[in-house]
Amino acid sequence: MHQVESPSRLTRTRPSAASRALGVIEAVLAPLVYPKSAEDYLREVFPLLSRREILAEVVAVRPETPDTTTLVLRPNGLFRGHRAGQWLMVEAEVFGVRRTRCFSIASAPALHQEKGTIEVTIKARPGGVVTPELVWRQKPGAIITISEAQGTFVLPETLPARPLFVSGGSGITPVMSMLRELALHNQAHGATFVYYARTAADVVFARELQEHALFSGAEILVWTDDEPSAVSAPFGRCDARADLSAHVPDFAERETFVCGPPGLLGAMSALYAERGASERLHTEAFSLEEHTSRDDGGTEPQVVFARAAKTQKGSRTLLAMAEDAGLTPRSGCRMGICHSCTCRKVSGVTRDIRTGELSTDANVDVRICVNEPVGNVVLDL
Amino acid sequence: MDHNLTPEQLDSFGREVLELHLSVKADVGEADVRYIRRVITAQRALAVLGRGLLFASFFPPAWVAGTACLSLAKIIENMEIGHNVLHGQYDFARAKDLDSQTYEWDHLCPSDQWRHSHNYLHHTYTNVRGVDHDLGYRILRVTEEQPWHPGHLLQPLYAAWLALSFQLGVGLHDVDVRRFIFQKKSERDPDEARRLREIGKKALRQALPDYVFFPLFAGPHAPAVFLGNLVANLVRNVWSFTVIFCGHFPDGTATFDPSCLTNESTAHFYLRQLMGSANFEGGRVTHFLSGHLSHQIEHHMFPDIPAHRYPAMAKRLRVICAKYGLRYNTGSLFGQFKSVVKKLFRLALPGRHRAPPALAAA
Ligand SMILES: Cc1cc2nc3c(=O)[nH]c(=O)nc-3n(C[C@H](O)[C@H](O)[C@H](O)COP(=O)(O)OP(=O)(O)OC[C@H]3O[C@@H](n4cnc5c(N)ncnc54)[C@H](O)[C@@H]3O)c2cc1C
Ligand code: FES
Repeated sequence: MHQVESPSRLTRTRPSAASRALGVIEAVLAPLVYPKSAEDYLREVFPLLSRREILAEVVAVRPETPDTTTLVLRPNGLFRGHRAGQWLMVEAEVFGVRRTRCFSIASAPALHQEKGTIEVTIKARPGGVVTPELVWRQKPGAIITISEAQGTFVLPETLPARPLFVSGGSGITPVMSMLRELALHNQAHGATFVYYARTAADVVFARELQEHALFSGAEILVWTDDEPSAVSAPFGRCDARADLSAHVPDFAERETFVCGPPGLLGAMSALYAERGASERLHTEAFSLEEHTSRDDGGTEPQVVFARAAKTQKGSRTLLAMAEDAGLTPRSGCRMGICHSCTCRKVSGVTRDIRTGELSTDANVDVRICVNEPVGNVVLDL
Repeated sequence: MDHNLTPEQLDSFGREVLELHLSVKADVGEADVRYIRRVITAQRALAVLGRGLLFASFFPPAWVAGTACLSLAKIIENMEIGHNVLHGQYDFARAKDLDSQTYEWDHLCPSDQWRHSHNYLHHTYTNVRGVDHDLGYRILRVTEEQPWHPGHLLQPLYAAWLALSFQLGVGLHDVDVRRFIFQKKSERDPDEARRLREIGKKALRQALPDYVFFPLFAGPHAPAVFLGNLVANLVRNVWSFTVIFCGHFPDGTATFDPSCLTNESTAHFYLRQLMGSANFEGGRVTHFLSGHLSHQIEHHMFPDIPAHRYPAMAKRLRVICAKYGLRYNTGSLFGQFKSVVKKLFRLALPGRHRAPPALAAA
């Protein structure tokens, strides 16, 4: 798990001229429209206009595979750009309800610098609430709310000599951003890009990968479970250890960027640890494995949701328990990185399921998606 | 509480109402968000149009049209948008602009005080004597169980004043102003003082655009703009007064003793809200402009359901009420209001108010 950069630590740039002008207009109009803000009125005419929220227009919707779609977004001036590999939160309205989810930016930072757009490539999760909507029903022209780019799984400022990218499934997105950035700066020579997909039809960006193989000098290796696709010369079941040993024998000497399902991440971590190359391995996970607490043998923990006046017994994450109790707290990444789910713990002890760290203080904020109760806990929820 | 239901009947009445409540709640979603967003856009357009027309008030019809648009905009913001959003009817959407915890409405009562005095006190303790301050707003005698005192002789005048200054009356009803004024500074409740300060601050900021800034911008038309804004505010006050007074005070609405609250069941809560509230009839426009408080009964039974759904719910609720022989208090707006006015005059004098026989029997 990579270290997370909190949004407050991101460098603040100076507001743009447009945003300052808007600030003046708002300040002048504010007394006239009290208790509303001028923005409320202006936004009826200019829907992207805001000084408070990063809003983005969906300018194009591009199907990639049967269950994966790229949304091209044009964010307003509050969006301060991104680095290759970073992700952002997308707040979409699904059946009338706003929901927040995290997605990596698949496009290169250069695209935003030149054209002012960014792209997210989303795979529909079976049974998911948000992703099927975004993949199959998103219309161009819609306005959505996004966050700043965040995360430290990024292409280093000083470009590594021969980077290795390994990804699987929808995990291709952050490393695709890196490859695209390298290619746009003519630096893709010597890079190796390994991608696992279930079937040939599931290979995201297949055409583009082919072009990279032909023109940008990057070595592209795509494995699918069924048959070789246009780009995948070798084929067979995903076996990172065997594949890397056979086709990228010097992998342990190369800066390696991995994103994909938990199985792939686990195999890669083990492999690099074995070779003593862990510090060259950089990983990004899209999800935590479904967590159920270790049994401490004591009495079953209990969580009181004070505002809802509900109590739930169990030892899952506080978020899962709140949902079990019929509440709908805010959540985003569900893995402790986006802070959407932060909520006040009134009393009790909680344990961070990733680190095992205990939080014993009363009246502190906890991320309920990655904390489980130890004994009795009261949440202001 | 006066009703003829056996405990079993009360129980099954409660279950049927709950079923109605939950079935509609489950259906709330995209259409409701689309609806309220459309209303908000229309309301803003009306407000801008109204202000704009008032600037052209050298042409008298523009003054009339501008004042009308502005009155409508103010009414819609308070009734269909503000009041309902603050009830949390659109909280399910989790949208920042529809969030009951952060919405600030165009009313001099600050939203967080409103959530306490209205959403909590008035809606939980509806028509419970001594607890629900909406029951007469601390100055009116609206039920014969309230003891008479000579001050009540002037209550028709108080009521007329309340109608014109309804925002103030409602805004202050979480504060015992009379007691506060006569108290020594040291005896005052610091929290009450804070609430009063907040109301004062908001009232000022709310009054400035209507009575200072917009008239100033209008230059030579300042008096016309000032007057248009004043009239729009008065129209809103009188209309809200009418709607609210028709909600709980017409003949046939019950008031309750605090003792009925102990161990109250859900069924009993629904029944108390039914007996303590009254509807009035009208067309779609009337319902809309009342923020659907023309369906005060449904609003009090289902305060968390988006109000534009009340007319449809009313049809189903009336069937349930008929089945259990319960009175569903409704009538024309004029008829309901007339009965309120009569009651206010009668109860200005000591003694009982005799409801028309047909109602007494019901
Ligand atoms: C940093 C980051 C970057 C990501 N980048 C991409 C990307 O570029 N492209 C892409 O397609 N996806 C990406 N994801 C994954 C994406 O956020 C999830 O697939 C999405 O949240 C699922 O939303 P949903 O509403 O469709 O499913 P839900 O309805 O939320 O999920 C269905 C089930 O899965 C659980 N769940 C919800 N979210 C997660 C989760 N993240 N992990 C595990 N279980 C979950 C729920 O509890 C539920 O039981 C990324 C995730 C993270 C954290
Ligand atoms: S949901 Fe993202 S930190 Fe908890």
